[in-house]
Amino acid sequence: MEPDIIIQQKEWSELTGEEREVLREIAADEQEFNLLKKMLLIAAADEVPKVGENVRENVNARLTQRGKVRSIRPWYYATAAMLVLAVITWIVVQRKPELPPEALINIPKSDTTNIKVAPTLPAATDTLGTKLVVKAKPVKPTIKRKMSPGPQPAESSLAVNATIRQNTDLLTLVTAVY
Amino acid sequence: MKDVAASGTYKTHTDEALLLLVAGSDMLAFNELYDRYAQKMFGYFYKMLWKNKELAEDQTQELFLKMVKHAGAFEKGRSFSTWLYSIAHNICKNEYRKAEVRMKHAEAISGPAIVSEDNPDIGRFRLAVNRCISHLGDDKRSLFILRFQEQLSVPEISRVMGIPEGTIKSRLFYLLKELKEQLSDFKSLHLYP
Repeated sequence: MEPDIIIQQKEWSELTGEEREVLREIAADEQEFNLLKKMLLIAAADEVPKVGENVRENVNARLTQRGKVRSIRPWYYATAAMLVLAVITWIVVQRKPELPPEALINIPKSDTTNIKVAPTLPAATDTLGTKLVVKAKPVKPTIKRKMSPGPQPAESSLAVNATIRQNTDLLTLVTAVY
Repeated sequence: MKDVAASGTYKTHTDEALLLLVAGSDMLAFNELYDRYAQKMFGYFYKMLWKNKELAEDQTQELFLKMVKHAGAFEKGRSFSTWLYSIAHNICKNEYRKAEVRMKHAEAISGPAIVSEDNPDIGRFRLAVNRCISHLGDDKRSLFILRFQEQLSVPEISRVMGIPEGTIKSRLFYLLKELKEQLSDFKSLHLYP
């Protein structure tokens, strides 16, 4: 137990040997013990006047005032934030550098007409787990050429011969010419 | 701050629960806390600040404004009462730093002695006790008031003053010893009425 608690709660005659030992340095005898006891009693009974009602009124007034300021503040903050954002955006737009001509990909006109971009495929993986990269290549131009008729099949030649044999006048004419 | 219609709703709330409501700008919760602590904290300031009523009222007002301001920062699990005393203690420390105030009140304390008519010895003794307390150093006076007048426990004082419990116990012991020596003239007087 704390020495001051012993002094406040007990009388000198009620003290145990252990308690007297605790108090030995500060209250060696009954007179000193009673002196401290009375001092603590007087200190605890110290009279305090009533707090004025104006304190509550002042606090309430200050809190109300503060509340008004708080309700206005968010608008100030929002406006300020928007202004700052607008200024930053303007600065960024003004300072944005134009792309150098080298950065542009120089593609010949003839090629661009025939470029077909391969559809984007999901990154395919083979069984070994390596990624297959599909490259877009310009499609070769398809040139339509006039094809020669080529050799006739044997059946069609026979058919022609049969027609000529049937036309005797034509056969006679051809023989006469040759 | 918003007002809550039903008055008296908060009588059963704990201090800590009320402070949470104060953090949410609940005026009625604030009024309830004010009712519970205004007189107590005013008393503390009155004793700490040289029994100057005006100064004690100003600081009580300041304390409750600070309470509202910092209500959101209150740590869960902490005692509201101890927290409030901590703020009050810091306010007093700031006042002590003002040398002008200290000088002014030191002069006031050394005024004429008022002796009780019923028991002159008691009157003189009371005055002597008050003088002893007022002449203690700032930390010792805080300790005396918190322990012997505000009746705070050692762990509570430890949290308010930010000093280890062991140090508080030791300081209390030596404080009693010092006061006993200062009041030794009254040892032989019949102090009980």
